[in-house]
Amino acid sequence: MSETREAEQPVTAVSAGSAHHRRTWGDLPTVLRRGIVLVALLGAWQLSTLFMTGAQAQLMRGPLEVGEAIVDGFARGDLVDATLTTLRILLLSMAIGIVVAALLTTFAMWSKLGDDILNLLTAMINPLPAIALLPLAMIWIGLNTTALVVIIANAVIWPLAINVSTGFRTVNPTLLAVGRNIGLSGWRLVRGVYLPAALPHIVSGIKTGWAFGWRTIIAAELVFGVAGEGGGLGYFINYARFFNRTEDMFAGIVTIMIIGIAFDLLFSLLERKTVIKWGMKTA
Amino acid sequence: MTTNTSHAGSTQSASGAGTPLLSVQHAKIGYVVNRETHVAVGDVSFEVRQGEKIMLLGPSGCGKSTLLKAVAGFLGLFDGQIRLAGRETLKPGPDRAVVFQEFDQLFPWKTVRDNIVHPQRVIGRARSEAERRSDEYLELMKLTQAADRYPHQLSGGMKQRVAIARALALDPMILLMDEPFGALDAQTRSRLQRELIDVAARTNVTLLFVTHSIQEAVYVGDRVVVLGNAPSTVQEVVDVSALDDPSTLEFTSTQEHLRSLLAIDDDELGNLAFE
Amino acid sequence: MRIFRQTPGRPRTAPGVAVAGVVALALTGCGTGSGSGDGGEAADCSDGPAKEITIAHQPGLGYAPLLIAKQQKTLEKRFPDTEITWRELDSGAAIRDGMIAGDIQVGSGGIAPFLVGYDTEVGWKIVTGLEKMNLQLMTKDPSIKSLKDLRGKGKIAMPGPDSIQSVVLRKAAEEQLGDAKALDSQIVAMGHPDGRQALASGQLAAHLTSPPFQGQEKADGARSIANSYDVFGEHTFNSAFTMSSFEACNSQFVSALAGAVTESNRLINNKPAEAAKLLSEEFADEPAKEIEKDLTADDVEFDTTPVGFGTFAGFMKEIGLIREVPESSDLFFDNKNTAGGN
Repeated sequence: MSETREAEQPVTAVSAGSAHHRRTWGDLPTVLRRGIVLVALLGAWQLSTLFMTGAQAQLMRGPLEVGEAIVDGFARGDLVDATLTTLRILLLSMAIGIVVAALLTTFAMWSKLGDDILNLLTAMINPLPAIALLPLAMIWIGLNTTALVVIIANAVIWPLAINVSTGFRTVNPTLLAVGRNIGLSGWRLVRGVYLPAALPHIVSGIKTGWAFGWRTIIAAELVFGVAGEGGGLGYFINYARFFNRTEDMFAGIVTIMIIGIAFDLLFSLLERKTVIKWGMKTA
Repeated sequence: MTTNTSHAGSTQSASGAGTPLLSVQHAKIGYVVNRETHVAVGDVSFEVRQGEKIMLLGPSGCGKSTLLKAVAGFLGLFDGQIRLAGRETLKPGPDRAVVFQEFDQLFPWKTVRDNIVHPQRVIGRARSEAERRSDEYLELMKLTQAADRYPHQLSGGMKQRVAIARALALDPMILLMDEPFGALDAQTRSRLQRELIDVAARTNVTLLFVTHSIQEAVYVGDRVVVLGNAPSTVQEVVDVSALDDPSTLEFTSTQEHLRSLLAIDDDELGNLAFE
Repeated sequence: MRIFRQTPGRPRTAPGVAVAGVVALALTGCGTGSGSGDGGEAADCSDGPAKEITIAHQPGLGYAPLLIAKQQKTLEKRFPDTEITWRELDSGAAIRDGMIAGDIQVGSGGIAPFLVGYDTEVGWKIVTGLEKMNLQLMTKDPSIKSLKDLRGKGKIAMPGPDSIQSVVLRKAAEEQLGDAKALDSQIVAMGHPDGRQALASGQLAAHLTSPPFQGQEKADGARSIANSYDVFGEHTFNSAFTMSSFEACNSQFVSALAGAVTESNRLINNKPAEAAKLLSEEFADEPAKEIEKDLTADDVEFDTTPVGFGTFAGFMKEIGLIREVPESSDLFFDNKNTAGGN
């Protein structure tokens, strides 16, 4: 095995050095490749707006105008407010979702009945897009932030609970034995072994919960109109639609994309600093 | 160190000196699976004295690991008693630190050093003291270079070294080892066997060591408790304290003797690993 | 319950398709872009007058002049070769989206959405005013006696944050609360019928609406705590509008539309009972007697002259809903109905 590898290495080195004609798109660094594609797409987008006139031009904005609208929106403050409103409601809902998921998981770990209940509820509720409950929540709770929070917390709870309980259930029994051997039990065993050992599942649960919550809140704000004490990003888009401000609709959409990407990066970073660094999850 | 030397010379005669550190009396142990009881250990009694290295040897499924788990406190007894320094053991505890066979017994989220420091903190040692001892055992187990690595960056042999260092740093009354070298390649295994003998001599640790390797039992141990098929009983306790050179005739003949003991109980010789 | 209705099948795919096309062009390396520019600025009437025309209105008696023309088939008789479709949509924004997309040729609605569209260069103008109506802010909550009590109390429904009702609310808020945006966060977008239901079921603190809904709500036990005439004076509520490019190719139809509205208004003013009977076909849950009462109410006047656009535009500019106050004369097609409008 090692002999084969040694025999191969020099060959690869030679071919990479000499055969410049073999350098293809795939040989470029990923960042460069993606950067070129991004610039090309933005260029195509900008170009497409040049050919539009009349009604079409009403419906389309190029990346430069959209960039300007984002800068304006942040300078004016209403895009900032919308972003903060959405994030505040989402984070509150996620916090509630995490607490409820933790309780459900504890109950599920603690008794077989709890486990059955969690599994059944998840199987029933998880496939239902959370936004489908919005009309009902509005009738039950009213046209206020609480209805939104309930809907989004609901979107977060189930993927989180099922991930965390899977994580707890699949903790390596040897690690648990080591934990008990050094004298851990009860809550100290949960904190010292269960939680860190289940971290890959917990992080992926939070990731999925966030993704569900993020999609749900934007959709809910679009339907809901003003949410509580000020509209979020979904409302920002809808508001722009009412006032025929196409560039602001694009600005809202792009802001949503950017925040989505930012959170994905944040979670990736979190994973790289923890579970990937610890070899508990492959990159 | 001195105690160890005296053991090597005096063998069984030391039994008269005081109470044993660990005593297993008429232990009957098993599992309940689907409301059916499976007795693995039928009726086993033996004693371990301070500083002694006791090997539990037996065919697969004879319940030697089960017995070790009971000593560690992970399993209850159907019958009998296990006493450590005169006190009955009912719960797991760091006075009986365990080294498992599995490589993934280290906390993957902690560095090698923290894997050794953290359990000491759990048992209430001050940080500075825990760190000092951790450095000591890192050096003893030749791990200083790897101290800041995470377990997934280590080889199997290194991981088992860390597990031994972690257990020793707790100053256990007895170190329990459940086939710790069973998953290693032959070369690494014999190197770790030598290192274990060396470290045991330097730390004067008492050892209860489960193995299915006759060579390992004779080479590492002072006495070998030979168990039969499940539900197992003690077939014989063989003194191997003087045997540490596998090339000697005495070593080979003791191996032969153990082999014949196990063969009586197990027709399927293939189950046994002869080294 | 729907908070607001999305226009069914809005063909917003056009730019998407265009992007895909251009991306494809760019990627294959040929940039000879023969831009597909239809519906350009300069009207191209080579195809002759439109063969299919959709006229859109919103729910309510404010559209009575159009609905009577619909019932009497005035336009259908005059243009037998043109297929005329009538559509009811819930908000001015929905009608505007339909007009930009080319689904709707004639729209109608309140002053504010029209001005927003004009300001964002949709390219439309007023054909005729429909009527003048006083819009009422209705509440059922006995503890709410003025706008001050309404603040922070719950949702206030109206067709949209761009609707004429929203401008009325803001003007009232500016006058009574000192801050035009004081109630903005309480605005929720609902079509009038949904709003009436939501007010009845207690989901709303207030509903700023129009006849006949404000009358129905009054019958249900609601009261008016503010109205549009108090803040803006007498003003046109709804008007009918169309794209300049459409008018250029269909001037006959557009002047016929203006004439039809004048005729309807004459009927309403001279024979309100007859008009009410025709309209009762359109308002299933409203008896003709009630409709007649609404048509002849004091603060309702069926007059085609568009009034109040300048006043509304001034205020809307002031609070940032539009960028510029247009010249009133630029807002109207030149005809008998719009003569003297402001």
